[in-house]
Amino acid sequence: MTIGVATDSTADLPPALVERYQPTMVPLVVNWDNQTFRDKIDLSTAEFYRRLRTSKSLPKTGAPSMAAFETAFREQLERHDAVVSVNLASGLSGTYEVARRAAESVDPQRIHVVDSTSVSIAISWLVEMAARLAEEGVAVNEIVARLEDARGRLRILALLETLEFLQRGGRIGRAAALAGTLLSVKPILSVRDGEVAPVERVRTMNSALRRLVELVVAMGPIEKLGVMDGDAPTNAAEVARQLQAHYPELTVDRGELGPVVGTHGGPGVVGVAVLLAR
Amino acid sequence: MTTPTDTAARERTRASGADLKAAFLAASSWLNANSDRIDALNVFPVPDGDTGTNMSLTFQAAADALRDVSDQASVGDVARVAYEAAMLGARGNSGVILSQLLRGFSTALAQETDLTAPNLAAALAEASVVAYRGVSKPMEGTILTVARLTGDAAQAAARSESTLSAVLDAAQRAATEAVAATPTQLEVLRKAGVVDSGGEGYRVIVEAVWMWSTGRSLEQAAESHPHSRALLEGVEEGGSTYGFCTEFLLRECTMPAEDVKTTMEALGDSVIAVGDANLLRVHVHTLRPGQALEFAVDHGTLVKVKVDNMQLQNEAFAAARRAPPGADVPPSTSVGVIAVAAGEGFAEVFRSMGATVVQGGQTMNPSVQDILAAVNSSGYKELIVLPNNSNIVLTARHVDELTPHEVRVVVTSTVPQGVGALLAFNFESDLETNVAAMEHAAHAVHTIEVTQAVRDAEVDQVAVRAGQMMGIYDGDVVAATESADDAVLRSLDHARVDALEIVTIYYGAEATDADAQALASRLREGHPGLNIEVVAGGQPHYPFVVSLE
Repeated sequence: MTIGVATDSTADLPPALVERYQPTMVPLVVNWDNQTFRDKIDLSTAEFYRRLRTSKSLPKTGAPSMAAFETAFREQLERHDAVVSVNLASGLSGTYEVARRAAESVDPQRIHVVDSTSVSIAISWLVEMAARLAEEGVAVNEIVARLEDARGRLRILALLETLEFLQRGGRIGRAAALAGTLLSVKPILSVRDGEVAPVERVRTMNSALRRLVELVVAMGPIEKLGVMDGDAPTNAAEVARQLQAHYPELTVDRGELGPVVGTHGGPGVVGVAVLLAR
Repeated sequence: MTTPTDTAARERTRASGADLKAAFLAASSWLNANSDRIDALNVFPVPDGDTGTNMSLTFQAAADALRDVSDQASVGDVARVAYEAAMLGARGNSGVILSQLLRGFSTALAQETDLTAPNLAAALAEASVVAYRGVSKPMEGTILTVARLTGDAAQAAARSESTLSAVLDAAQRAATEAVAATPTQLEVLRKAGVVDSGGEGYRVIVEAVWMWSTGRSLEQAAESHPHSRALLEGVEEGGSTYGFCTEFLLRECTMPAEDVKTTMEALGDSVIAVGDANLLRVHVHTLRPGQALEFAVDHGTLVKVKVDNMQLQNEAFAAARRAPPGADVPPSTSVGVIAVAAGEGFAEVFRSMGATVVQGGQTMNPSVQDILAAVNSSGYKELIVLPNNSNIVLTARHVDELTPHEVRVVVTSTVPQGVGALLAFNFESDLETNVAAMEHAAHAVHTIEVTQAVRDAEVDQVAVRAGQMMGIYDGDVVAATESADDAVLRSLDHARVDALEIVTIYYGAEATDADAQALASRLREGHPGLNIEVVAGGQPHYPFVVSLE
């Protein structure tokens, strides 16, 4: 019995993982100036941020169509006996719900859709875990149970240049408490259990980067660590460097926040993904 | 109030609860009459001296509560009511210490039906003991010293004298000498050429009770006393749509105080009417001070009038009642933050970061009750209070014991320190962790305040002439200059500019955005690369408050 793995384009999969396990990636969509782009397929991350910094209009994002998931699942089922699909947090997007309905319509017995409750690199960790366990021959129900255990230990901290994009996209949630500040501050927020929540405000970018590292270090023992950015490679490299110094035994994964996540975070985001040790 | 006649009064060895009540009411009126003069005894020649106002409002809270106390009440009960009301009404450090003096006074008299020379002396001594306990680092040359020497003198007198009047006479003499000696104990007082204001406030209270005990009326005293403040201040009846804090003193009032109060309540709010037909003090916040005064003229002899335009406070107050942005968002944390701030801009800065704002600051310190009300209506179980003024710290600390909420005070002496503390607030952390982080952050912020000197003085080795702009760096006067800009620039010399990440200029009600931008340009000229932000603070009296982070 073989198990295939699917995900969506917000997983920010590292190339090595794609090459090794070949998970299916279903793209979300970005609508911009009356054009529809498939995330990361019709619109590259680099092109997206170039346009975002200059464009007067703002993009909007949408979940993949049910048909897109159905096609992906059918293809997987031609090669595998079962499929595990790990998707963007249901609290942030309708993607999980669309995937779940597509699974219902294709084959609810063989397709298992898991809510990652997170974004970006953190999803890619779950994808990698699912693919690795599948390769080891672990039963599909056991894989789902392990993913559900691991997702509770995922943490994301993100330092934003501005809350404007999150507000416009309606994904601000409880982090609204950080909004409307009269002073120019850099908000730090968290994604945890599928929800965006406020953490802190810091006055300048330099102190905010430092603070981001402090907040990670304060989390306790860590199993996996990753740094991602939305067109802020220098700041991300600095955070990664500082984290590496704190955790010499860990590999600090790096990732770019793609167009869909970038639409909501805006340019300049530096994020840290953490999988807490058990 | 029942004022005993002269000789009979002086020979009294025993007084009832009703007598003590009358004495307290007399003291309240007398303190009120002296409050402006006490305000002026500020070490710093800044226009926000408020010890007299704070003590007077605190004592007035006690007097107001006493009016409902039966004449059959024991002296123990009268003293307890006075203490409890003063504790709730306490404003500023001096108000809190005054409430502690009353606490000691009432504890000593708790079991007493009548006041006698020995128990009065013991109560005055105990007042001082309790007040010393309430202050973490008691300093000599302050109200504490005056209270202690007053208590000592009363006890010494009670050993040989049996009349209340004799004990009080010794007490008031000791108080007067103690106040006069305060400049020899505190260098700052000597340099500023003033006596300690809190000590003087206490002396005034003791003096009032002594005068009462000798049968002298307060009015006679007011007329003969060299210190009594100017009776009339200008009446403003501007076209403002905001309220006026209206106070007047009415002699030979033809209407009972209770009815005057009812009438005033129809005109506005915050009504206080204390005293009796001989001398009635009325306080009301109203949109129509003219109507209040007209009523006064119709019902007695108007002795003294004071009307303050409360436009600023009121605008800010109205804004404070507006729902904060994102009010529909559920609380992100179990810990709430309450910030004390004066000036609409400052209030907005705190509100925009999720804090609940209690209006007040340099010119008007909030009472324990003001902060308590904000705590109780906050919706949070645990709260952190940012006093943002060293004179509000004690008031804020008293809130915790009066509420089921867990209340912690992060000591912030300036608004920038408060902002710095609030910036360090972590939504995911618990109370203790936040308190520690916020205290740390508050200490990392330095503050420059600029205000105009109201008189000549030498403060912190700086000679200041009336009218000059003073630059105050972390509470110390470091510069006296002709322009506000220069005061900021000179004060900045005391900071480690190269270590600064960001400088925020908050401009006050008397300055404009253009003024602040011009100052920012001058700062950038002298310190290229400095990160400068300009924000409207709206604070009274201080054209610029500058935060150095």
